[in-house]
Amino acid sequence: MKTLHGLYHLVRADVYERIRRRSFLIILAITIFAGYLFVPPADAGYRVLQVGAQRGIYNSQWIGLMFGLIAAMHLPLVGFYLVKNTVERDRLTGVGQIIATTPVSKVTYVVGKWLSNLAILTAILGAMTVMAAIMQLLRGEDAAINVWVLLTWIWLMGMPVLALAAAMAVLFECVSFLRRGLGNVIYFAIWLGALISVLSGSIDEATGLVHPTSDLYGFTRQMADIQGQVMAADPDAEIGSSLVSPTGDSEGTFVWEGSGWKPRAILERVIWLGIAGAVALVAAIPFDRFDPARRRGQGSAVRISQLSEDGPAASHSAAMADRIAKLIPGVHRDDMGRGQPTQTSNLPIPAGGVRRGEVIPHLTPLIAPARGWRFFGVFAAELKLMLKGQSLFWYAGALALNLACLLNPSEEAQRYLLSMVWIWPILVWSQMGVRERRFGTEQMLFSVPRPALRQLPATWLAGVAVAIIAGSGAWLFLALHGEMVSLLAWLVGALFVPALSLALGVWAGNSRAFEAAYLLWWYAGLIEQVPALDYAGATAAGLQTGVPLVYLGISAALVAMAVIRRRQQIQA
Amino acid sequence: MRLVIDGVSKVYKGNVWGLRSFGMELNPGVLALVGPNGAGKSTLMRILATITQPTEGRVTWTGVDRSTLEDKAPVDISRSPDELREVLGYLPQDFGIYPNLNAVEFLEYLAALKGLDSRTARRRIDELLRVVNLGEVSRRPLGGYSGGMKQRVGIAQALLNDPQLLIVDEPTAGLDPEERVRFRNLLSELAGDRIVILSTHIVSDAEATATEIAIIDKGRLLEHGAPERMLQAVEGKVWHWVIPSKELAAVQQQHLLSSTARRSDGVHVRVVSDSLPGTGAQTAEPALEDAYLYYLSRANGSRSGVGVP
Repeated sequence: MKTLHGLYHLVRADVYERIRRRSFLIILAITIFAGYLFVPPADAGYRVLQVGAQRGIYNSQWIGLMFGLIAAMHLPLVGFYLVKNTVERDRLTGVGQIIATTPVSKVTYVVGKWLSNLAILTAILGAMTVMAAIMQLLRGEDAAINVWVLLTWIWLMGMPVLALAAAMAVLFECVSFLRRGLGNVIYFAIWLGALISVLSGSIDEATGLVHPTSDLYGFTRQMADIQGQVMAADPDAEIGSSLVSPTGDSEGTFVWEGSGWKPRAILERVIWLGIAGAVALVAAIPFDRFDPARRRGQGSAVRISQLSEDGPAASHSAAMADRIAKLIPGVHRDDMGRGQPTQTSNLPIPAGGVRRGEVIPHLTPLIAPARGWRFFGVFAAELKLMLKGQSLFWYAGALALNLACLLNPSEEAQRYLLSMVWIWPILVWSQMGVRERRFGTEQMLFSVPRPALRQLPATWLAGVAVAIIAGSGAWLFLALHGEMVSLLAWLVGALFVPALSLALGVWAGNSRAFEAAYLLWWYAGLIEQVPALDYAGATAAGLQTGVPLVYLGISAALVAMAVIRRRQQIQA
Repeated sequence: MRLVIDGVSKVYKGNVWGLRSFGMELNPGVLALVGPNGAGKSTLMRILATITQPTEGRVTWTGVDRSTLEDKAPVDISRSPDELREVLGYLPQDFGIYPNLNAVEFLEYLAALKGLDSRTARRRIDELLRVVNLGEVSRRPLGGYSGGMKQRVGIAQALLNDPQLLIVDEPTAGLDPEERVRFRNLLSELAGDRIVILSTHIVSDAEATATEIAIIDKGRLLEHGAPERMLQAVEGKVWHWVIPSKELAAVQQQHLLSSTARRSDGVHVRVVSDSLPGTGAQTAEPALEDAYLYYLSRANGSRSGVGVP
């Protein structure tokens, strides 16, 4: 009972803290807008979910299935990055150390965080459900709104996967090496892997039909029913399905009444929910209970007010009292807490104490005072900030990758190698525009003259330098092979990615926004080679249509946006 | 050189007043801002440091041209913050560092942002690290520093550009007693030709260095003046009184006590009171702590012994 009470308050405080942020309202607004886009009118030029060349009319079953698919397939990606900061917040605010000294167990804590994550994602799911009903009314293809159907479709499909994403967010936050950017990259790979494997694994190669297996998204039974219906009407129909597709010429609609949710299908969803709970519980094992001694050496934001006083300076505390007693006239050793003064003591020291013979510190006045912008100094320091503290593994990987690019094993391998150099420095870039907040240096940086203009262009160019250094094998390869257009397009990419990172970092205030957005962009542009998203000249179509020029303009706009936003932040 | 704060108010979300019609004029010297937690000291300092915009009122800065040593034209710091930032040194109450840089690299970074050329910066950093006693550890990553050592890095960065206006918010927080004395001495040394604003809730720190003291509570300025004047105000109102320990609770209820100490003959208390608190009490020489409590108590009207003159 006591545990439940503690758990309730843990979740309540956490949820309140999150939903009272403006960012939560923004997320809800985006959800509502996305919900509007999910149910396009007939002339929108695209469709969400079609089977063969047809889609179901917008009744509650069909809309429920569409929203359920999006909630199960895509929301877990956005949702993970949205909620993966709750343990970190406790760590940074110092609340964690207070919680650690209460009787709250590790299991209660991680379960509380999981439930809090889930509550946030559930609120989004709730907004999606409301939006589904509104869109059905708005499109008016079937006026009868079946709330029960909307609820079961969207929640049975979405909830277990969201629970899993919420649990993985807690788990990742508790494992030291997954806590930051590397975890974000790994989650993206897991999400993509799951999507590809579930989608391909649920298709029976012999018939081309989906077969009901125990799948993560819980969609195959419904999809098999739809395919059956389409085939019954037209045995020669092409029954491949796609989630978002452009409308062609021969599309039609049909009425799908849904196959309902049988107990077995519901049980499968409950099992996934159980797996999510198990993942959350597993997080208790690596959870360090905010013990700084178990933290990996560096990288955490250490603010003065949160520091424990057990650092190197504490070592000389024993001898301190005697020294102070000699140092300050009128203070006796016994006055200082039995000769053990605390390091942070606010102990009143009598005014004016100067040790006999001590030299009063003296500072030479500056003859040449500060004069304007020292771009190179700031640039060099920014570059140092980016590169210092990277692990040896990172440098070794970058070196190996670039050597491999130059040695050119095969054309196909080369394509992937050239793409990989664009992903290797992602965690270096993702700190741009965020570092000040993360490490609490904002007030010092913001009180220098023209802070945004002095710092951000230098930060951006340091990011460009990182791209050029970390991708030297790639651009050298292009230069050596005389592919000058590709080389120029590559350099545009080197300008674009740090600009994107800087802008998203300054606007979002965290590194996750860039990590998630860039991973998708990189995957779509360089791996799937969608010409419009090819920012680095990887596709012939992109090069021919002048896409790099567009990205050059976008880069400049992004840097300008970062500067504008930073100026607003400074003035706020 | 002059800093004029004119009717400055700051209202936070939810109609919470951080400062209310705050006004004062500052000339070279050390001003200690003292007040209880949440009094508005940090709000005022952030406004003066151009980090926060006031909701009402304005702050005008008159700097000195370093070559001619003449006063420049006054500027409103909300409109032209960069004029002040050029000559500003600011140590926030709560700040962080980059754990992978060492002290020299971190200071070089801030020096570049402040516009110091690298030769000047290097000399200055060497000197500052000696002054704040970090010379020996200057090449160690900051991530391994103790709280007090990081605080000293913060102090060093505030002094990088030899500021004309130095704002230090709770500068001695986290410093050990030896370093606190050292820092006080440094402040006194610096005060000659610049305006130093120091916030603290440790009155003895203010007593040691300040040429002027401002007492602030609930966003309002209660008193501003030289320490001597404040001491004069409590002249004859501070009492030393020995009482039996069982009477301590009752005395605490009735009077404003600035200190208590148990001794073999009873409890020695210092009472701040307009009139004789009880038989056997003798007047004592006032200290700034007494004056501080006196003004706060008078503003809050919480103890019967202190009346409004």
